[in-house]
Amino acid sequence: MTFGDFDPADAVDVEPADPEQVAVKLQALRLAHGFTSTRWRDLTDAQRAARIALVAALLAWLRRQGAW
Amino acid sequence: MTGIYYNGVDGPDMVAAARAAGMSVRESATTDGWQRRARSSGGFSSPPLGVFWHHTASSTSPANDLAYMIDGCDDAPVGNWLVDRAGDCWPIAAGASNCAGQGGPATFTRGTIPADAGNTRGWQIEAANAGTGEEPWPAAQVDAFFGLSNVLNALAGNSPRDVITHALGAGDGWTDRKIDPATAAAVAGPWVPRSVTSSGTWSLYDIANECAARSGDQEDDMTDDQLRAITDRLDRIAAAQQADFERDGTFGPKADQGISQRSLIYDQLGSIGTKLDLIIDAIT
Repeated sequence: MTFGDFDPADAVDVEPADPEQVAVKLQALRLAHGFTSTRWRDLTDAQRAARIALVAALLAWLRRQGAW
Repeated sequence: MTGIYYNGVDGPDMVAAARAAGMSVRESATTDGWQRRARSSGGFSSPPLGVFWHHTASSTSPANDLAYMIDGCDDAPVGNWLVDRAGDCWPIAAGASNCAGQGGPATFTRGTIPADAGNTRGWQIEAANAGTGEEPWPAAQVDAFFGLSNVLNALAGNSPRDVITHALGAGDGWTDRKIDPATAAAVAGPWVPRSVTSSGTWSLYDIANECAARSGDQEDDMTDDQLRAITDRLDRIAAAQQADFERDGTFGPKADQGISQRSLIYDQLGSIGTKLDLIIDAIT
């Protein structure tokens, strides 16, 4: 599917990543690539919290490494 | 979850506000979850400073547009709202979205959006249109575009004039990478913007004025006699000096229309900014 004029430059911004949104995106990517069959909305609260915590730790580590 | 989400829990409810204003708001299984949907940085870091006007550059159904904007695009969500050709408004993301991207900076009533920060500091409305001039912009869709823009600006505490085209346009838009919204010639209905680029980009100036007019916003009030006295002067100035009035940002929408048309301003025009008053006093 094409969508007109959207390009990667339209996704640029200066704000840091949010753990929850990155966790949502990660789950979507895992779903798209067949690593899971569960959508984010179907996870339990505990499962979501665990994923968010993991991403938060990962993002913190990346910052320490000077990723941004 | 960080930042402001306009979902009625983490911030004002943008859907409720749009419905309360009389907009036709529709939701679907695809849009479900708009309340917590956002780009990677989450909610808005502060209330958006203005509304970015986009077209989808697509020729497909609302369902297909939404599927791409919410699930299909690698950088979804694309935009905060979709306005379809029928004038229905579909919520996509209550948090910040991906749409504006590289560009700016741009100054609005409450502050300046820094360069490349449009996604997290501005509302993003995508209106469904190919943008090539091959399909018209129905009046109902244009009306919804204005209506939703005014609702979102009011929700964030902005002026209705706090709008910006994605395209750089006449130099007052966001980026030279884009042409939207376009084309001016394809706009149906009583309101037709001027074209400010070879691609038919809508005039931001015309958009902002129309937003203000539709919101009932006025800068200041004058008596009819005061207005008549100034319009008489304007007419003499325009005729004698071929005056080219500079837009200084303080004209009321109807006063500007009168000046650009080089004609007398008749009955019940609204406001004229104070800078114009000073100019007239200095030369007459």
